Amino acid sequence: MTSTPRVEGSLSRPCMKCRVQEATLDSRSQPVCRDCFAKFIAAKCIKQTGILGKETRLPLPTTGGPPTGTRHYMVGLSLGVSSTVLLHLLSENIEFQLARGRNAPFDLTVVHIDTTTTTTVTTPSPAVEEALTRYRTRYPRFTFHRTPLSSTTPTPSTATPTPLPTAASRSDVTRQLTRRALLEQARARGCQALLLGHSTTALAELTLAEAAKGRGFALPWLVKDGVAPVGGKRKGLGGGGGEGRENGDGGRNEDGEEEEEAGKGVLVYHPLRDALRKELVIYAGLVEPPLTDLVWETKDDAAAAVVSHKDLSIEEVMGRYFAEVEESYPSVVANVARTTGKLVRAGEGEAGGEWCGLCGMPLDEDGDERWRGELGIQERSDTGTGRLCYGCERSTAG
Amino acid sequence: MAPALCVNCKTERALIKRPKNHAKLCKVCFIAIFEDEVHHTITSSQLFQPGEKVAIGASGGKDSTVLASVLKTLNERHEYGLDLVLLSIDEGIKGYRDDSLETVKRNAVQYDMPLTVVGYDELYGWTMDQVVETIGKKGNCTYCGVFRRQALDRGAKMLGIKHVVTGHNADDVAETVLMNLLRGDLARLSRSTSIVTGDDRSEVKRSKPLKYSYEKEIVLYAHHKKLDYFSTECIYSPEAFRGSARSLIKQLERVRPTAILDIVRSGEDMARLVPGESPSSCACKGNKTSPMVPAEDDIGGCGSQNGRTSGNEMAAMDKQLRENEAHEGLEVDVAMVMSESKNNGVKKHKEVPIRSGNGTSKSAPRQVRGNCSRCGYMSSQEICQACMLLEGLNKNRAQIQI
Amino acid sequence: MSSATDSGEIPITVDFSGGLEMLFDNQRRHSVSLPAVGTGGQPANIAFLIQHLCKNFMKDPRAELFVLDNHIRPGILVLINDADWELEGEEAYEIQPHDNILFVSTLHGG
Repeated sequence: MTSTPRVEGSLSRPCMKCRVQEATLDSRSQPVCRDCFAKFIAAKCIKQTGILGKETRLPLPTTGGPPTGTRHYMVGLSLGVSSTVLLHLLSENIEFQLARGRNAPFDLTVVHIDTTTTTTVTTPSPAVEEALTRYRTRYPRFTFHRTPLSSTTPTPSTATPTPLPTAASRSDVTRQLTRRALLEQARARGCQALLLGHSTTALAELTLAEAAKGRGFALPWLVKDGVAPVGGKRKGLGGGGGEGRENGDGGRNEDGEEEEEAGKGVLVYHPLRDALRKELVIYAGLVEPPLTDLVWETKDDAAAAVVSHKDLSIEEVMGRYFAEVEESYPSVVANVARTTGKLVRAGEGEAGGEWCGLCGMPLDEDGDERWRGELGIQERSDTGTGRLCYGCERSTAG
Repeated sequence: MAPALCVNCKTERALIKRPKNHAKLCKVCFIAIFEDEVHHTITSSQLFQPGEKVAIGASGGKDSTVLASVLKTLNERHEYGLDLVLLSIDEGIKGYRDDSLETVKRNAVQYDMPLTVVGYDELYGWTMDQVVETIGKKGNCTYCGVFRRQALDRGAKMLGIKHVVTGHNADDVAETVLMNLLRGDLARLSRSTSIVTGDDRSEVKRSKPLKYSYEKEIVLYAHHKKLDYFSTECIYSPEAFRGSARSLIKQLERVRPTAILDIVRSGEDMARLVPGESPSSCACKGNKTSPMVPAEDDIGGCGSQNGRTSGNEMAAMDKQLRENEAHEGLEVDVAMVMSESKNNGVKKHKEVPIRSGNGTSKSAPRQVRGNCSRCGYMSSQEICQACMLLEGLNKNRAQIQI
Repeated sequence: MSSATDSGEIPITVDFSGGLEMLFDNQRRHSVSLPAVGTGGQPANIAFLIQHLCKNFMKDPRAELFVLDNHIRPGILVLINDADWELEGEEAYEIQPHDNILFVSTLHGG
């Protein structure tokens, strides 16, 4: 990033960090210059990838990654601002290491799950391909893949054979399947970790949105960094358990035959978990050329002037709420993901743990037992996707 | 649009669309099903014992009025054998409580239940009007809320009653779940979702039989049964709905009506995921006693808003969190966690503890509970919040007199 | 369903409760003569009634306690002849002569 030199001593508002340049931004109640701000954001990402680097120093026995040397990660690219910033920061990190004559610390595969195609609309949106071409040109070092959601397992049409009742349901199911597709892609491509671009704000939104959709039980799996289940019937997760398992199934790992391919977890990291969304937006505009040139603006503009609440999703309601909260109370936003991080991951302790046929999260036997009859709706017939978690039941119920 | 028929009786015109499952019901079936569901909650959670004397915390508002009406109906219909009384708290706010107390007095006649009114002046030596006179309007809701939390228990104790039921509904519980997530208070999250509060040391047990009832249905029940309730805002409470968790809840409900009960379910499930919590708090699977959790910081707040929060609370939370961050020095704990994961080298791809912050406390600390050394009320501190506030107030009064 | 007269006004009663009466002159019941044709030339519907009430009946400056972002504030129930407006088409419901429309707030009082 370039900076314009200033005449010292003539600063009207010096940057609180370097005290050399004019502050042009406010970051966490401090006036800062753009270079210091950019470093601040980069440091947050580097800190997290550094921890991930230690975590992935040895190859994961379950993913069969390369035995030594360069680690291999996958980035889930939504073509939005946050995942684009993540990609850019990781790219800068590699360039920095190479410029110092070191090896690249990791290699990246970038996957975009394309939700524009459906069973009826099979031609991919040209806008998606155009966007990916822009990314490929800008980051030639990485390989980019477009995976239509309709080609993954389960697909939206197999997961929910009947049309979903509301915009909120459609948005929810698409989100769950997209996440699941990313996990499966990461496993299929032998990546040691899946990196997601969630900001602090996005994780807070995710926490409250999933709570509002009845997935409180799965929240620790969704928000914390760590090994996440990939769904499907499985036996044990090979040590991917949480603090909830007091004594762990230490021996299960050696018991290789017990492991089904479908059940292996994937390490999921959120390297931007300490940056606010508004900070990532500012960062995207500071980079030259701006990352905002790359980003594919989808329906965000339309959402701002929504006409009917019937067209809104839970995520959009949360997005609007947190945009306000982030503006005035950033510490509250940061606190949400931190709080969820203290919850225990549960539901996969025993080898017989079952996964939701749609979102792939662990099923909550105790909770389901307690709520039986509480809603006054009859049990749903099995649609071929297997049992569903409470949240997915709610989204797919007519 | 042709009028829809009730899905239950299939003869009458549907007047209600239920938020929790979209069922369309006629008035009669709605009232019956609403009551049946509260009965289900009461029996599955084993809230009452035959012969028990139960005080209904009555404010004259919709929730407590519906609670009194439903409990009277169910007590007679299912022969609970309960001795029901109304217990009202008079905060001492002229022009606000006066009218609502009139409503409660009418309710006492309508439901044939004895009524006791206990005033803040009796309990604490201060009316809210006097508190406001002393400290001003700013922050007075804190006083009111803290006093209110204990007032029902103290009032019940005066009457020799060991069980108080309150009108908290599903919207209230959902709001508390979201607030505690925002606040980052897991201990409170797990307590607030519990239908029964109060532990062995507290002399008064509290429960919320309407915990699973939508606020919308409570209002509709009151409307269709033509119940006599009172609604006004407290004259001291700020109109700060926008940005509050309450308005978020209502927006979610409009987009997806099931969301409120789904948050309640999420809250209950997450309560089981709080480190150190008991795995199940279900009374229907043969556990003889319901889990008892301390009530001290049960859904509290202002009587007029039934524990709902204003936007102002967010500002206070943010300030508190900033201070905590400053103390903990968030950036410092990276090194510590990194060494931690080094030590855990064996379980290489075990889940890694979250590192964005509070790396030290993997589990939320359990508060140690005791009793207030002044009033004897259950408290996690040496002196309970109410006594602390009273001390300040009394000093103030002394100063004013000088 | 045909609407009232093509021109003129539709006589209806509008009730406010649950605290909303405070915004409307502390009066629970209002007799309203609603123009039969809304602003866009369409038959008068609930959306139009809400505008009409805000313009002509609200006595309180705090309109946001009734209407938020051009829609009825979340948390306020609307009953059309005692039926939940969700059963009647919500804002699009076309007002009929002698309808009773009740707005009841769930936001006040415990």
